[in-house]
Amino acid sequence: MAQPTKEQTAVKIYTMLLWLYPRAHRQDYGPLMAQLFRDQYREAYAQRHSRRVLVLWLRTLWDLGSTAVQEHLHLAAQLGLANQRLTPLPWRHVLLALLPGLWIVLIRARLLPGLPAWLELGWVYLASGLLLWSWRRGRRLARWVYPIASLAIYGLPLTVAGIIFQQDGRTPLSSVGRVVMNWLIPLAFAIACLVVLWTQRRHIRLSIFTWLALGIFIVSGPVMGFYTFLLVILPATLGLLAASRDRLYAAQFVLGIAWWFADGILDPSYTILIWTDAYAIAHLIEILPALFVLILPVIWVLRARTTHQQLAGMTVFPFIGMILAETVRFVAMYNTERGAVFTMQNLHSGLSSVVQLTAVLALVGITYAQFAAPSPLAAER
Amino acid sequence: MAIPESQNPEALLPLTTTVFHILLALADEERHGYSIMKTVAAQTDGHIEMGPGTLYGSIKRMVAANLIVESDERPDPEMDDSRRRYYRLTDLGTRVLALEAARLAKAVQLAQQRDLLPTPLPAPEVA
Repeated sequence: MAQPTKEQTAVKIYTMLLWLYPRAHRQDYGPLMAQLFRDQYREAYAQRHSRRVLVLWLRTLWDLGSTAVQEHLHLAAQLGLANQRLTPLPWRHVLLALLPGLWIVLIRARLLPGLPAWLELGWVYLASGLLLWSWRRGRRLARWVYPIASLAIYGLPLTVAGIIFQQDGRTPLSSVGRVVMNWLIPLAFAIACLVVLWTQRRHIRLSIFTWLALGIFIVSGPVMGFYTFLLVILPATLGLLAASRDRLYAAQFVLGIAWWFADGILDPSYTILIWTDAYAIAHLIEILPALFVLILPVIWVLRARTTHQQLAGMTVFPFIGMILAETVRFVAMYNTERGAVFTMQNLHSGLSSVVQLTAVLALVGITYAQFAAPSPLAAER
Repeated sequence: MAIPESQNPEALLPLTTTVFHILLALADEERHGYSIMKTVAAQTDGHIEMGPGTLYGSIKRMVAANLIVESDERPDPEMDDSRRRYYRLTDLGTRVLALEAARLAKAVQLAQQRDLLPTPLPAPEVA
């Protein structure tokens, strides 16, 4: 008899899909939900109308997707991840946290025609001003100024080397320039980061997970190149801002990793060159990752008044950035002189966006879970 | 004696449409999930057809809020699947349902006074 087989298959599929719910909910109500679905399926099938079965499936899938999310949110609330009030960080702290993003924007801006090379050093002036401000107010350097110190260790030599070895920002690097910029300076910074972390180990009690991740990024930095190395700046130094605020470290850490992913995802400038020869447009578009990962979310996260606002800032901006980047990418691919161009590279890029963004969201989830735990840095303030 | 906040029926109002109709379905007798779903669909002329996720998500929160409880006794164990769970209203659930119905009735009354609804209303068809 065909009907029981189809019914059993349908129920089996539905039971497998119940995996989307939190485990506790699944254990308590999974068999009852499967039973209810079986009853509904039997009724739809008894009417001998395939459309009824199709409608049932569509309705059930919608119900399953929406309520699974709802149950996870309820679980999060039960675990103590409910909305908590926060005090926005003062703007001078926010500005310090924005420096890496501003630095990236200035590096990109320097490539625009007509803009002077010294512009790239603009962040140094800003940083110096903030350091002086901090010094005058606090008489000694507070822990939250470490990021700028570390940027000086890494960014200043790199910027100066860039001006020496690649004055217009476009010419290929000489072999000496490549060794200095891609290897020596990052290596020096890696050592400096390790020294800072080691000397501060009593003050920054990080979890084993964080130490492990830091270790991987510090080791992989010189191997993987310039942008990956930004990961070292953010986790190892911006993260120290947590000393001035509870629960901040996790947020900064994730933003650092998000940047790493997003630099690949949100930068469609290579694709846009299929469409147009206007390098200026491509360079402007290169600002997207910095804007949507290192600037807007940082402002939002540090000025947020609630943990939910913080979470929204961390997720919404990369999403907007991704949508903009993908739009630009597809417009470029459809408007070449040869018509629509689909290359494996473009296809791969689109697919990897989805995969990588999922990874970013997973990391945001891990971060948010950390909000529930007492800050390991709270006692040090 | 002051009613604890969690037991204060007023504190639970207004109810969502789904919760209201589930309570209404349980007002006359104990029911299991499929029966609740069918009754709600019938009493809303098919406008609310809940899926398993919506129904059991609501039931879970209603049990937690002490609006309904799982029933120990089965109406007719011989005739029924033993795996089914039956639910019934608690006293709090009954009071909350009555208050919500009164609140909605007041809204209907206002609509009638503004000539938006006929007076008296035509009797609803009960399936």
